[in-house]
Parts: sequence; C-alpha cells; structure tokens
Amino acid sequence: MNNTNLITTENLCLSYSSKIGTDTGNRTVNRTRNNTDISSDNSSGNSSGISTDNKLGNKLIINHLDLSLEPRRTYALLGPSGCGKTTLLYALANLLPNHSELGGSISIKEGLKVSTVLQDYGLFPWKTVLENTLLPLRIESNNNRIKLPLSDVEKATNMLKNLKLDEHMHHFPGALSGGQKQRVAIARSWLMAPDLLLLDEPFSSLDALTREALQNQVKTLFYQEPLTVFLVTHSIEEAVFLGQTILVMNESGDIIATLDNESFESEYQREEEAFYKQCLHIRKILKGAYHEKTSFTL
Amino acid sequence: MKKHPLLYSGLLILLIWTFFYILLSKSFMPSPLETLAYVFHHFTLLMSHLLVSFYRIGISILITVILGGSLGILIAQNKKVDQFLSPLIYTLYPIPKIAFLPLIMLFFGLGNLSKIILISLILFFQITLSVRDSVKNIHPSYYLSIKSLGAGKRDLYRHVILPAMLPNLFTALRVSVGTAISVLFFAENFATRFGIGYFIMDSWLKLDYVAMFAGIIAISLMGRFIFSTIDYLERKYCAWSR
Repeated sequence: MNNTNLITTENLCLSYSSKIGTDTGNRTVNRTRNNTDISSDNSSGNSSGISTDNKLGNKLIINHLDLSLEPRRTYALLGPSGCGKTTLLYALANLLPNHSELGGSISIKEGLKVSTVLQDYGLFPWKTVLENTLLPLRIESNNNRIKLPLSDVEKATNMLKNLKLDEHMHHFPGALSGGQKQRVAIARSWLMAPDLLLLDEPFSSLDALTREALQNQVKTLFYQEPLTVFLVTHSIEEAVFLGQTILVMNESGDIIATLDNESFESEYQREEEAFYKQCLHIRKILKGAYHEKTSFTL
Repeated sequence: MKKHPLLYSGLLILLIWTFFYILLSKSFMPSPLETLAYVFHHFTLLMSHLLVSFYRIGISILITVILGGSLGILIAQNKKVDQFLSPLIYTLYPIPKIAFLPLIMLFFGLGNLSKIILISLILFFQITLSVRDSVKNIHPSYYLSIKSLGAGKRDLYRHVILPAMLPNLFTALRVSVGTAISVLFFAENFATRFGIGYFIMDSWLKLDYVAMFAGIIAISLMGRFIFSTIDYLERKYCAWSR
C-alpha cells in the first residue's frame, strides 16, 4: 500500500440498511477520525457477502470501489444524480448515517484532517459570516470560553477579503445570496488548512456566471494554498475545469473511467480547444455507459 | 409616540381611566391623579411588595428555563423518553395548576417555596414543549455540518442546539409569564403578608381603592419590566431571527 496516499480504498462496498435506525451490521459505523487503518470485519467485501446483504433488503450504493487520493491534487468525481457520489463523499468525510454498512477497506492516513463543504453550504443562520468562518478554529482550539488569538481572526478576515466578502463579515447568512454563502463555506473550509477538502456539488444551485466566477476562485485558491481537493459534481465542464484527475461514475455506482486531465494546467483553460475535447471525450464515455444500460439511443 | 411606547401607552390608559372615573363617579373608581400621588408617596412600600413578587417570579423563570429547557432537549433527542414522557406531559398540561395549590402548600409549607413551585409548574410545561419542538425541528443538515467541522457533543450543544432553540424559548416565556403573574396574584392571597398580590387584596378588604389601584399600576409595571427584559435578551441573542 502506498503510504503517501491520503486515502486508499480497496473493494469498498457501501449499503444502506432498509431498517433505518437499527444497525444490523457487524461493524460500528461511528469510526473515530485519525485512525490509522480502518478495515471492516466483512471479509474484504467478497461478492457473496454482498448478495446476502441484498437478500436482507439492503440497498447497495457503491460496489467494489478502488480509489486512492494523492496529496496536493484535485479530483473530480463525475456522475449522474443518484449514483452514489455524495454517499462516497460522506464515507470519506466520516459522515455516513448510522444505518449504513461498509464493506471492503478504507485506509486513512494517520492524522488526516478532512474538511467538507456540503451541498447546502452548512452555514449556521445564528452566526455572523465571520463567526461562521471562525467556527472550525473555535472547535479545534477546544477552549470555547477563551477568546481566539488575534492571528486567527486576522487570518479569517484576510480569507474573507480574498473572497470579496469583507463587507458582509458582520452580516448573518440569511442576508447573503447563494453565491456569497457558498464563498463563506469555502472560506471556512479552506481556513482549517485541511489535508483533504471535500466539495459536494458545491456550485450546482448557482447561476452560470456566479458558478464560473466561483470555480475560478477555487482554482486560484488551489494555486495559492495547494491541498487535496475531492469534488463531486454532475457537470462535465466543472469536472474538467477543476479536476486534475477525473473519475467517471455510472448510474450503478461503478467508476468506469479515470482520466488524467492535462487541460487543467493551462491559464485560459475555458477558451482552449483541449478543454472542449476533454469534455467531449467524457460525454462519449457517459453516453456509452448509458447506452449499455438502457439499450436505446439518446 | 413611536419613540416612547411606555409613555404613550401610559397616557392612553390614563385617558380611558379618567373617562370612566368621570362617567361612573363611584368611590371604588379613584381618580388617576389621586392614585398616582399615592404611588409617589408610598413608593418604598409598593416597591418592597413588588420586589417580593419579582423575586418569586424571577426564581421560577430561572428554575423552569433550566429544568424545562433540559427536559425539552432530552425528550427531543431521545425517542424512548419522548414516547414515555410526552403523553404524561399532555395529560398534566391542561390541568389548572392553581387546583394543586392546597396540595403544594401541604407539602412545601406556606412560605415562598410553595408559591415558587406553583408558578414554576405553570411555566414548566410551556417551556418544555416549545423547547422540545424547536430542537426536534432543527434541520438534520445542521448536525451534519457541525459534525463535518469535527465538533464534539459540547460543541453541538453550544453552537447548534442552544442558539437554534432560543427564539422559541423567548416566545414561550412571553406567553407563559403573563399567566404566571396572574396566578402569582392569586397565590399571594394565602398565608403571606408580602407581595403585590397581597397588597392589592389587602387594600380591597380595607376598602382603600386608591391603594388598590396603585397596586394594580405596580403589578402592571412589573410585568412590563419582565417583558422588556425578555425582549432585550431576544434582541441581543437572537438578532439573526428578526
């Protein structure tokens, strides 16, 4: 196993128990973070074990997934809605609900710091923009009553300035637009300086212009402070623009292609032919997968 | 008018009062001026009775916010506790708590304690139920979000559950404090010689209508003060919800 990788999964299988609330699995789902090696008791997810799961009425979301994330690289997981993208992201973020069952193995690098930007931004309406941004630092410092060091507040302020949010610093999220909320969520996650940043369809509810502006900002941030980004999306263009590695998932939750995206590096990426060629290539892969499954033409 | 709501409401009440004073011209309807003069002359006397009542209400509010609030959170988070306690609460809630006053006095004596317990009983149910509902209504995405930031149990209470339930807590307090003051007035007619309720009733029995109305003014101002405090705290801690 390659030790430099942040996360490696082998034969990862994931299913939701139909009996919600009763954890029938032979493993506890509430893993503690920072564990070195978390292997499940399921005998590395052999297919016979899974089929019995299915007989019990469990819904299989992800089947035999091999994935490894290298440090300081961006990954874009592309797939149709409902294929298990978000579930996979939750598995990486340790946010799976209690009625889920994991098979195979995930090994997480020791002390890995993960931060997640959720689809609905995850901001707290009762905290100002600045307080929302500072929250992870507050939780990390673990002494809630003592004031945060000024350097932390300064860092947060600079990050908000960087994302052009300084005039909204003392406003509540309810007064912000969708794009602004999303920028606060990204500022909050980036400020934690995580080893791995997970983005769950971060721009899907924004209009096209705001979306492009935000995608540019994320890319700029990545060049300023590189970290590993794992992005889940259903937009081909977004995956090609933000992913150095693009993983294509089909409807049944299998990864059908893993592509190195060379067009990522160019400065005016959106205006170049390589970008559109890459998009077209992925479109064909997705169409092929769809074709195979439904056996009628698009 | 808008800048001085207290002054404006006071003037309006005085106006209506004066109207009825002139219309009725009976001894049990004293003149507003005479009554106000009484309030100024006997300020310390009124204040001492008022402070006793305020102490009884204030302690009750404190107790119920802590006990009712914790129980509400517990019920909301634990299905089994909810299934066990909610029917019990629904059965006990509609019973007029004043009916328990003889029983309470039997067990807790004639002093302050039984009055505090009676008021607490009235506040308790409304606060417990509204906290329970507001915690139940916290969207699951907030739990996911705080968990994704690496929060522990304490952070969850401090950054999600407490702030999310505060607006409902203040609303419940506003609704129940009105009832609590009326019941306090009733409870202060038994086995006590202090408290604004006693003062009003005592003045009535002495046919001192001026003093009685002065007492009514005092109890209304106390209510006003409590409501203003709740409003102030809400503005301070729930600025986001307005």
